[in-house]
Amino acid sequence: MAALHLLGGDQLTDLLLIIVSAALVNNFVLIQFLGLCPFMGVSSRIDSALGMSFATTFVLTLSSVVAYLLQTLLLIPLDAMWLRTLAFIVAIAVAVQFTELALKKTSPLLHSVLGIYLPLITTNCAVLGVALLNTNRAHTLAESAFYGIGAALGFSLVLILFAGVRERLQLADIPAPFRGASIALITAGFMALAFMGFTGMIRL
Amino acid sequence: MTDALWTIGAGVAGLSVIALLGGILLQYASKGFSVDGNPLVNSIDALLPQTQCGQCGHPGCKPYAEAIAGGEPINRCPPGGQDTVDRLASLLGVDILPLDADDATTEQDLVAIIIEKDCIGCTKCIQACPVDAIVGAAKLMHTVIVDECTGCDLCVEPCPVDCIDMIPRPKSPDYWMPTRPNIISSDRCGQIGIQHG
Amino acid sequence: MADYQIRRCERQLEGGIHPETQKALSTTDSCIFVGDPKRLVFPIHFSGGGPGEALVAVADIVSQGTPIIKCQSGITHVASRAGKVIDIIDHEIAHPAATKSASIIIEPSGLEDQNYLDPLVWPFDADTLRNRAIEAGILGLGGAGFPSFKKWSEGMQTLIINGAECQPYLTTDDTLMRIDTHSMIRGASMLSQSLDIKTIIIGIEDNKPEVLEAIESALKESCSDCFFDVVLLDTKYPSGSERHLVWLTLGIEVPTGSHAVESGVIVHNPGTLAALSRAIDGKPITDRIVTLTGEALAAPQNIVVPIGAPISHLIEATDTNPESLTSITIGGPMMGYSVTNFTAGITKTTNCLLAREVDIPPESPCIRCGACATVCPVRLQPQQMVFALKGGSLDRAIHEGLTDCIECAACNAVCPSHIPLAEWFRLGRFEARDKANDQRLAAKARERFEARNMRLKRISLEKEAKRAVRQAKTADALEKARKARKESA
Repeated sequence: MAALHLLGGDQLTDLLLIIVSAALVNNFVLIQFLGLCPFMGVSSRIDSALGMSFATTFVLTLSSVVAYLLQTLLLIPLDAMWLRTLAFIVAIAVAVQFTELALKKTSPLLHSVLGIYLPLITTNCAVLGVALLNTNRAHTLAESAFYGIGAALGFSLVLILFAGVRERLQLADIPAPFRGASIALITAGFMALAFMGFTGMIRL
Repeated sequence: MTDALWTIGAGVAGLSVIALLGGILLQYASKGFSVDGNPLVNSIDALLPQTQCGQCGHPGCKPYAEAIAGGEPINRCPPGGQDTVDRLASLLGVDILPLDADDATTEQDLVAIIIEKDCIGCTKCIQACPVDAIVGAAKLMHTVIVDECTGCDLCVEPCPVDCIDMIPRPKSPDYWMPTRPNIISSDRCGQIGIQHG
Repeated sequence: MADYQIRRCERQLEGGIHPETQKALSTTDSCIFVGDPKRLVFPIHFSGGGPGEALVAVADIVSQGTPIIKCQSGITHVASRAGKVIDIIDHEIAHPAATKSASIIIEPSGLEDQNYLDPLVWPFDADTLRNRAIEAGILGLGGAGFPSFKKWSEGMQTLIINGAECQPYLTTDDTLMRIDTHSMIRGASMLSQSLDIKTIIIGIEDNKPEVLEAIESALKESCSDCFFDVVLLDTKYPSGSERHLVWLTLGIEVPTGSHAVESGVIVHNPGTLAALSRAIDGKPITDRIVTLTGEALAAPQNIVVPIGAPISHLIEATDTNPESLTSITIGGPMMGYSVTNFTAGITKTTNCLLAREVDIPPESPCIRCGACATVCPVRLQPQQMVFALKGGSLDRAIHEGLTDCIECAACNAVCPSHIPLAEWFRLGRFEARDKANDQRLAAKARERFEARNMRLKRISLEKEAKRAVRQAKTADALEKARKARKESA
């Protein structure tokens, strides 16, 4: 329970740094190469990329908090840290399922746009990655939540940027051998190169 | 030995508890968020060409929209052409499929015309028309309201004297379309989107 | 003397270009009438005012002023010279559609046989004037050919005379405003008074000082009750575009998707108003001023020609052999279109024939320099729109503002890659129009389909109800019969 700090002054700076670091410097998609399937799969239109971003943001934040609570309230007292991965997967699956139900009610169009991708978030390695990295780095509750938000922001940013680029690529006059996935992957590569420029932005 | 059993037991119990809690939560959520029907149908219907021709195997565009929302393939609308398939794919976030039709049927915008001197006034075509675009009465000559005709050709089959023809939709005599400027330096062979001119 | 003021326009056109005007080439002090051609060609559907129908048959004898074509909008086109209808056939037309279209061919007889309308006597109301405009075939002589009477609705505040004539080479309006100033001012005053408009604005570019002089002296002689506000505009293309002129002179921004009329402003070409003045006196449009210009012509000038005269006849009037030219541009270098067959007749909207050798370099790929966006007077991003159109996404082009494009071709003029941007936009706008039409038809079909389904359902329910009543009756009768049988037994 001691880990449940209240937000303090210098801690706020830490939390902001965590967000920036997770979103840009250690971007989950382009630097850590996590969550690549939705990155390629849902980026053909800005609309669906936006929807995917919202869903992922929600799931990432929720699941990192849930995973943290699970760990501190259940796994550590029971001394069952070896169950961590299994437990997290269950928790994430529940969170995703919940999101899907809520989405079906509130935004049917988004629900159908996300289609198979929403259940895919369950197996989105970024989601599990965030939960595991949180525990590895011994983040507090607030830190975990902000790390999740940061990861989600970074994911959304590159997904929407990439969708914008791909929408234009669809209209562009691309040589036949490069059309489709090849030009998309090349573009993703360039974006990753660009994101490498953030390295060293934060010095602690 | 007992230790190991204890550990495994605790693990199984712990996971079961988590799964149970999750299950209960989801159960409540599915009750709270239940939806009737599929609100997508109208957005799909808006993209269909409303010819009501039934070539998709459904009695009209709205029923086909419902079927698409229920998971039917999106490429069964010949009057809409590839363009409609592309738009549907884009709306629903699914892959673009090639249009499921003979090329000939998608080429032109047609309307029905009744050869009036041959019409015997049987009203069979009137009953077949899905958009009430044929006027006439029993034993009197029928005629097509060209502006209302969707070109679905459902009236051609029922006519017992074969007096209905499909002709290209008449255009206003001052209709014209600018020519397409030449595209340069391209190996684009018209593979995406709308075909111009 | 009419009440008037002359002022400089304080507003600046955003975007736009300064092309070499080349107006001196065709500017002359007088304007000659040329002799009648051997035949006159009147396209039935492309004379302006929408598709029409012929009011005459082959071998009919017509007078000057006899109605020969009635358009869907009501506008009547008249024979510009007395003569005989020798044929009604598919003939080449002077139109960007570049096809043949049904046309009436008249052979002028050279007789002074006139069939004019009765002069209108002031005061007359707006309806009388509208009818007169329809009978006399008055439509926008600036080039668009919009039926003028459709602009004359009630509640208009201002009439603007569009004398900007911002396109290079053109001097049609310049000439008209110098030699026919009185007609123009009289037409404008009559129109304004019948519609209860108090202010008339005359917008002219500051490269026409003679016009300003002519207008000033005409206004001094005029006894109009209207207030004339003469606005001198900076010479910049396209300050003569309707919505830009409204903004420059009045500061009113015409909203997207609507016309100046919806903002209470009527904009007319000077020629239209001069023609209206003559129509009030009974004379329908039979002639118009055409600028013949371009370096390839021996004697560029402005001439008055009968409507329907073949292009070759006009070219000959400038001492040039038509066979020495391969093509001619109708309507000025910016907005014009090219015509290669010189047998086509000019229409009321033909304001200029431009003959010059232009060497258009081949198109190169877009280098995203943004020059087109800088000069676009509507503040669009032409490079984005053409990118979308070339990629086949009409929706995206519309999203970028395609429907607001005025096709002024300022972007074409500055494009270092010589991309025919305006041609793409015109094509896109036509396709957008067709698409909107398809959607309208689809909506109508959906409505009718649903109405029919509801009717069928109602009928089947009614039948069901009737059957139930019948069955109940039968059951009743059976029951009674059974009872009766029992009792009798």
